[in-house]
Order: sequence, then C-alpha cells, then structure tokens
Amino acid sequence: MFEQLFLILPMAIVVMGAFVLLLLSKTFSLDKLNLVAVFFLSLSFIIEILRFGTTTVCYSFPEIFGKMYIIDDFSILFDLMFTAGAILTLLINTAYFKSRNYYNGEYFALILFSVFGMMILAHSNELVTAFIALEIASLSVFALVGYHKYNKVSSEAMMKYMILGSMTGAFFILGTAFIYGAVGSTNLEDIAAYVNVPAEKDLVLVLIGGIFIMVTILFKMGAVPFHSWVVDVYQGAPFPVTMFMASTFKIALFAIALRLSLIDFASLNIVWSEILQVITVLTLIGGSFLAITQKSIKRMLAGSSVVHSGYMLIAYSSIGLGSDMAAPAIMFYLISYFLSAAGAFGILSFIATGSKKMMTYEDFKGFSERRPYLSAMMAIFMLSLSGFPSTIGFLGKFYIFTSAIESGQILLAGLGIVTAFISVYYYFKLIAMMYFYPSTDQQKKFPFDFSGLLIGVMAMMVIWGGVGTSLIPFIPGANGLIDIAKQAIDSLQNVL
Amino acid sequence: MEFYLYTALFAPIIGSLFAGLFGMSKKNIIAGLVPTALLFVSFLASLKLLIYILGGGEPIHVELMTWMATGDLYVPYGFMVDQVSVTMMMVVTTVSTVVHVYSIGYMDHDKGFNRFFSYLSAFVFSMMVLVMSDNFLGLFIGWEGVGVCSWLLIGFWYHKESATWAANEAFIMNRIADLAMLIGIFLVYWNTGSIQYNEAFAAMPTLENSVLTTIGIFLFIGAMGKSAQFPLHTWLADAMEGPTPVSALIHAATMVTAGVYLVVRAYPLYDLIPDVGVFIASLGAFVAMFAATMALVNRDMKRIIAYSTLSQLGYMFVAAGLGAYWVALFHLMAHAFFKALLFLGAGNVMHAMHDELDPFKMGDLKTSMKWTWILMTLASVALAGIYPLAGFFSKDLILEVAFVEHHYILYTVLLLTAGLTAFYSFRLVALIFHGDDRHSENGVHPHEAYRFMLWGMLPLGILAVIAGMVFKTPYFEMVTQVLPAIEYHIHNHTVFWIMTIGTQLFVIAAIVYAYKKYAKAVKVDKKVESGILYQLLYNQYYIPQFYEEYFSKMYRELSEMMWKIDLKIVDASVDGVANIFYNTGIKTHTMQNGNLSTMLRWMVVGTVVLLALAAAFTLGQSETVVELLSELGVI
Repeated sequence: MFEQLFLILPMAIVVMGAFVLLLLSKTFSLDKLNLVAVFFLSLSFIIEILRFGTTTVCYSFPEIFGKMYIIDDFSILFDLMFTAGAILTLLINTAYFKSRNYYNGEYFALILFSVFGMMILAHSNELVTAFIALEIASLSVFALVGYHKYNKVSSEAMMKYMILGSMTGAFFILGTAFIYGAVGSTNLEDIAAYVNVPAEKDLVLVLIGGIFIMVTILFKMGAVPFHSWVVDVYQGAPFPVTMFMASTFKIALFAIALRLSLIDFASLNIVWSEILQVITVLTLIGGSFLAITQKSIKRMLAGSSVVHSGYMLIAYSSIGLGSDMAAPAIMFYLISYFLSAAGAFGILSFIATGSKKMMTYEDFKGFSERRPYLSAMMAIFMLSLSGFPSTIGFLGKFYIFTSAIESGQILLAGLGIVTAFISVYYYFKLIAMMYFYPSTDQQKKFPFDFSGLLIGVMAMMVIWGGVGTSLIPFIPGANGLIDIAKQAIDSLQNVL
Repeated sequence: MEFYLYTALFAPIIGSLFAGLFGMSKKNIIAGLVPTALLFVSFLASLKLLIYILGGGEPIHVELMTWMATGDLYVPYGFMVDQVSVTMMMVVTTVSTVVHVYSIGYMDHDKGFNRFFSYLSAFVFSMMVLVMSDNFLGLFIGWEGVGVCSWLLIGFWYHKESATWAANEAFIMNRIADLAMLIGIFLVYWNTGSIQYNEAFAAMPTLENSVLTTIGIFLFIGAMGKSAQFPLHTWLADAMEGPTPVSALIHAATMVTAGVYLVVRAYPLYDLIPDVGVFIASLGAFVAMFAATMALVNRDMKRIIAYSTLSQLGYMFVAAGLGAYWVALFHLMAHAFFKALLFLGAGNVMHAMHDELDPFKMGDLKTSMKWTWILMTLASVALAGIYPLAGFFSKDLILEVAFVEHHYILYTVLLLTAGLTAFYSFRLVALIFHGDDRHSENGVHPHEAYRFMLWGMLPLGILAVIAGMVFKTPYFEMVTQVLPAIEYHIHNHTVFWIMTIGTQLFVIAAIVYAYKKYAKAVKVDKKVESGILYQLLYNQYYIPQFYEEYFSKMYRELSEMMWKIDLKIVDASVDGVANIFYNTGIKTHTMQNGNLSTMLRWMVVGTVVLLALAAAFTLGQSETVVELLSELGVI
C-alpha cells in the first residue's frame, strides 16, 4: 500500500499543493503563494530526480487500476521537465505578477493543476486516462491564457484556444472510441498486442482512430495545418503563461506521442511515416514563413516554435523508418528546446515587467547597452534556437538530422537544414538589433535579482549542454543528456 | 601531472570571466591584476610540464569525455601535452604574461580597461585550447576562438571606424580560410575515420596521394589565413588598429603562428606530400621577400613591424615546407620573444608620442627613452640575426636548411631578405631614436613608460638574447622525439664558415647603411620617392586597391543588385505571404489576425486530408487493391 502510494507521491504532492494553494489563496499574499507553489513543485522535482534511473518499470495500484498508470524513466524524465518548467515560470516571473493588477491567488493553483495533468499524461498507459489528463492540463491552460480578463486580446485568445482545443479533445475521445471498437480495450499494451500480431484483422478502425488522436497531438504541437491558433494564443496570453505554454505544455504532448508510436502503433509506423512526412514539410515551411513575417518578438518566437515542432516531427517520422537514434533525438531536442525557449520567453517576460510595450524588434535596439548581461543571455538563447554550434540547440538539431539520414529521409534532412538557415535570419535579427544599434534610452542602473540569476543559470546550461563534459558531477553535459534521453527511451521499449 | 595540464589550460579563462564581471563598471585595477596573476599561474604550470617533459616524461594525454558518439562518429574531447605542444604552451604563456603585465600600464587611462583584460585572457584560453587539443576539432574550436577574440581586440576601440573596419576585414578573411580548413578536416575524417591526430596520421600512409594532396592543400589554406600568407595577407597590417599589446600578443607571437603550428603538427601528412611542401616553402620565401620590401618604405611604425612579422612567418613556412619542422618551431619561438618585445617597445614610443606612428616625426628619443631604446635595439639585433642573439640561431638555420636541401633559389631569396630585414629594422630604430629631434616642433614631450612596464618587458629582452644560444641543444633533443630529427649541417667547413661570416657581414653592412642614411638629419629624396619602385612598395604593391577594385566593389555591386532583387521579389513575396495571414484579420476587424471559423475550417481540412492520406497509403499497400489495379492494368 505505502509502496504504491510512494510511486504516485510526486503527482500527489503537486495536486495537494494545488488544493493547499486554493485554500490559502485569499489569506496569503502573492509572494507567499508563489513560494508555496515553488515549494510543492520542488519537493516533487527532488523526489523524481532521486528516483530517475533507479526504478524498474511498474504500475501503480495494479489491482484497482489495472495497467492504467505506468511509472518508468521515460515518464519521470518528462515529470522532471514539467516541474522544472513550472518552477522556472514561477520564479522568473515573480516581478511580473506583482506589476499586473489582474493576478490573484488562483493563478498558482492553476499552474499546479496543469502540471498535475501533464504528469498524469506522461504516466498514462491507457487512452481514457490520457484523455482525462490532457483535459485537466488543457482546461487549466485555457484559464491561464485568458487570465488577463479585462484585456480583449487575452480573452479572445482564450476563446479561440478553448474552442479549438475542445474540438481536438473531442477528436481524441472519438479516436479512442474507434480504437476501442476494434480492439475492445483502451490499454496501450492491449492495443499494441492487437496491432502487432499479424492476422487477418481489420486495422482500418485502429488507423482511423489513430489519425484522430494524431490530429490532437499535432494540434497541441502546432503543426501545420493545425497551427493557426499558435501565434494568436501565444501573443494573447500573458508573458508568463506564454513561457509556460511554449516551454512546458508543448513538451507534454510528446510524452503521449512517443509512447504511442514506440509501443502502440509500432507496426503501423510505415503508414504514419508517410503521413508525417507530408505534415513535416508543411510545418517546416509554413512555420518559417510565419516566423519571418512577424515584427513582435513574442509572435516571432511563437512562429518559430512551429518550426521547432517541425524538426521534432522529422525525427518522429524517422522512428517508423527504423532509426534507433530518432527517439533519443526527440528527447534530447525536447530538453534543448525546453531550456532555450524557457530562457528566451523568460527574458521576454522579465523585460515586459517594466513596460507595457509590444516587444517588437525595434524595442530591442541598443538593448546590449542598457542590459548587457540580459542581452548576452538572450543572444545565447537565440544562438541555441537557431542551432549554432557549441550550444545545446546545435546538438539537438545534429541528432535530429542524423536520425533522418539514418532512416533514409535525406530530403527531409535537407529541408530541415534549409529551414535552419532561414531561422538564422529571424533569430540573428534580434541579436543584430541588440548589438548593432545605439540605445535610444539612457542607461539605467539595474539591480541584481534572482530572476536574472536563474536566467543566467539556464544560459550556462544551454552552453554546457552544447560543449559540456562530465567534468562537473551531477550536472549533465552534452554527453550526459543524450545518455539520459537514451535511458528514458530504453525504459519505454523494455515494456514489450 | 594532469593537474598541471588543467591548471595551465583553465587558469586564463577564469581570469577572463573574472575580468568580465567588471565589464561594464569603471576601471578597476583588480580586473587587471587577477587575470595577470592567473596567467602567471598558467605559466608556472606550463613550466612544470616543460620540466617534466624535458626530464624524459611521457607525453600527457587526458580525455575529458566523449564529446559526440553517434553511429560511426566518435569524437572524444581530449587534450595532450607533448614535446611540440609544450613548446607552444611556453611561448604562449610567457609572452601573454608579459603582455598582461605591460597592459596594466598601457591601458591605464583607457575606459575599457576591464573589458580589455577579459578579452585578452579569453584569447589566451582559446590559444591554449588550440595548441593543447589532441584532435582536429579541438584545434578548430581554438582556431575559431582566437579568431573571435582577435576580432574583439582589433576592434577594441570600436568608436574608431578604421578599427571596426580592420576587425571585420581580419574576421572575414579568416572565415574564408577557415572554410577551407573545415573542408580539410572533414576530408581527414571521411578518409581516415578519425579526427584524433595520432589515429588520423597513422591511417594516412595508406591513402592515395591525390587525396592526401587535397587534404594538405585545404589545411594549408586555413593556415594561410591565420598566418596571413599571400594573398590573404592584407588583414595583418590593418589589424594594427588594435591596441599595441594586442599586436604584440596576437599579431606577432601567438595567433599568427597558429598556421605554422598546424603545418608542424600535421607533419606526418606533409611528409607524405613533398610537392605541397615545396609549394609551401616557395610561397613562404616569396612572402618573406614581398613583405620585407613593403616594410622598407612604410611610414607607419606598427605597420613596419607587422610586415616584418609577415616576412618572418614566411621564413617559418620555408622551414616547415622543406621538412625542417623543428627548425620552423624553433624560429617561431625565438621570433615570438623578440617580435613581442619590439611591439611593446613600439607601444612605449606610441604612448610617449601621443599616438604618433610616423617615425619621420620622431627622432632623438634615445635621450628621453633610454630603456625603450636599449630594448628595441636588442630586439632589432635579434631580428636581424646577429651572433649571438636568438635570431642568429633560428634564422640562419633556415638559410642552412634551404642550402642543404639544394633549394638555392630559396636560399638566395632568404639571404637577400635577411639583408632587407636588417635594413628596415634599423631604419626604424635610427628614425625613432637617433638623428635630429623632429617631434618638439609638434609640441610633444616624450617620457619613458612606467617602470614596471619596462621590468615586465625585461624577460622578453633576456629571452631575445639567450633563447638561441642556451635553448637550441635541449630544445632540439626534446622536440625531435616527436618531429623528424634531421640535423642540417653543411659538411664542408670552408663553405660553412664562408656562408656564416658572409651572411653576418652582409647583415651588418645593411645595418650600417641604414644608420648612415637615417641616423643623421633625414633628407627626403624626392627623386626616389616619386620613382615607380618606391610608389609600388609604398602602396603595398597596390594589392589593397586591387582587392577593393575587383572584389569589394564587385561584391558591393552584387549586394546592391541583390538588395534590389530582395526589395522587388523576396520582399514582395514575403509581404504577399504576410498579407495572406493578415487579410482575414483586416477584413473582420478583429483584435487579432486569425478568424476563429477560418481556424476551425483549417482544422477540419487538415483532419480530412490526413484521413485521406491514410486511406491512400493503406489502400496502396492492401493486396486486394494492388491485385485489382494490376488487373485493370494501372500498375
């Protein structure tokens, strides 16, 4: 009993934290609530980090839930990213929510609820559980997007996101129903067993169901043609929420996507790959155009996040074509994107604290003179996002393209490299704006603060992940990270 | 011993980061002292390693970790200290420690004092990575690192437009060369399956000659960029826009010699392709002469020394090209000492003369700047190659190499260049320190540099004197454990003595002539100056103009054309795409650009397309359909 409870402890802590926050929301100040939220998340984070690599694959409360809820290194790695993402979001934006009057106590509870949902999603070994988890996470994020309720942009963004999100949620449950109709179970292992035993079974229903689920996943990733919400929603949401969505929520979907394609639909992967190739091409090209045309940095980053989904889709379609490198490559890319995007959005919202501006390229003119450290870190994140050597982003792309070449998708790898070159344009434009133009404002004295320090640590990790060695224990460098990614994927495949 | 290796390698970067912390604040002497102290630590660690290696210790090899391991690509991240790299480490740490000490005084009044030390130490770190790496990739990282630091340091006074321009020129010229080098490294990897020096070189003898030649040429193009060999040489003279300590460290002693180091390091490769070696030697001899002639008439103190550096690099390449790798490395070391000293002396003069660079406006500084005079004269004597100073042992050796290897044309060229070297060096010394006072009329009252700067320069002065005499034998014994141990001796005693004494007399004659012509009142000979030859040399053979006319201008026109194309076509199409995105928003006058029903429509279309695709793919694989289609004759 207690052993079983211990298995779900990290998630339990998060959800308990959410309830505690709700209870305290009227009595505590925002600062204290923030600390409480960070406390619960950190507790969960620490337990997970201790557990990573030590547990064998097991199920929680198997006699009650069956095999609904799985615990393996793969899901723990995702849990680590979710909690870390939420902690960073909360800590970097301490100044932000104080400068805006629309924040109140429920904000923190919502973040914890969404983290809880994402964690369940990573652990779910069954489609209905996955659906519930996804909805818990999504509903919280919907509310967070529209948090600035007197701002029309924010409300409109929430409205759009909610309607589209609900529709895709419906697709997900529809897909589950189709699969249930064919297999008679929604457990992933049963589905896998059904699909992988070649018999004269009809796979059409499974395939259709799979397509509907895939649409949901692609929608949340922001793959073209399901991307239309990305830019508007990212822009409409308050900065901290955009940061949370882009760095953390975006990742969550890959947990279920990878689990599906590695276990569930392994024998259907040939079919997936061809569909995914089409989607990948569209996503890479469409996302690049989207990113190039933007004037506001937030919208540019939103557009470019579509392109990053495209890169991951390259590896995603390589999985089906027999590339061993592909799944670890996605994991590595997720980590690298998480670090770089959280950093870039973090800086953005950190700056936005003091101003009500749009944050266009123009606003960054001469930024290096005003805030030399922040602009250096921003430059590092931009370099990493564009895949510049010696940053973690380079290695991420490197592994992705290697997996594509390994699986024979030379053209896709070529397209990826071309879009990477295009991305240099919109990322370096920001660096150029920061460094090659004189500042319009006078240099102000800026205080040392904790948020800046955190961003600095992330910038270090971006570099360390690109060139790092095993010199410093406990902080994985480039090599350690890919090992971690491989370990997580291995734990996933050991199930079969 | 690994501890010393890490100390030597990482102490400079710690210093750099430390100084970087003060980057934006006011000048703080701590930001100069700490990096200097750390560099001294690095120097001591290198010295310890040198003693260890000299004592017959095994080369140290550390592998920090596997950097990349995917499929067949295995790149360990390692460093090594062997006889060659320890020589380079000593050169780098010695000169850079001196330069750091000197810079504390030299940059005293500069606003960017802290920033300067941060860059300078970062440069030293990159240089250490370059020389200590045990594989081509690490070498390349260091190579790029020194490039970036050099760019930052040349353009240190970025408010000066000429400095920014020079920095960019150096950077771009080097990028061209680096591209070739990268191709060379890729070729090494593809053909040998490794980028570790020892593995790659071990695999090379089995390769075809044409492949090796290609690799050798591409790597050498990389070396040409860094070491400013013709035709990529123009950046070096322009790089003198940077602060003088930078010129001493980067553009005389360390970075520019990286190309020579590369050729020495890759000696197993160049030994296999002697034809390329001869080409390298010929180019080197050409550059030696070519640069020396430009130095003859130049009127910019720092540029004269820069051309001299170029010329000496030519000497080193002659030695390396002819297979005398240890001689090349030896001259590299000796040259680093006296050339850095010369630059630092020039820095003192510049400070005293309020940044005046034209030696014709100086004269008679020996009274007011006695110590600088002594040190610079010493450096010039060493450069000219007078017995028993450093230059004699290293430079005359290169002449002997050319002679022994029966390359008499190269020998003659180098001999003539030795005379030219002596002449321009002492032309400079005579113009600055002797003759009549030509600076008082400009209202300049020179003063000697700070005492500690002179003390700081002293080690270089001592080394310039003794480096050849004392170090030659132990150095030879040490370094030839790695490099081919070929002794270059002219066996015929008569020939040997005639040559040695002849060369000495020739050089001394050149010095005397230079003093005669310039140490008294300077008469400007209009007739000579308007001559074609003088004009040709004075304008650097019109090569910068040639580049401007045929490359820069063409490029600019091309850029303008592209800009127009960009405006018309690319922008129009981008705008077009943007308009498609924007249009829906404009029409509906919503706050944002996306219309919800359009979005929903997109989603449905997407889903339908996916389903259709899935249907098409599955049907295509289904046997019944294939049968059906083949019956119909479609497939």
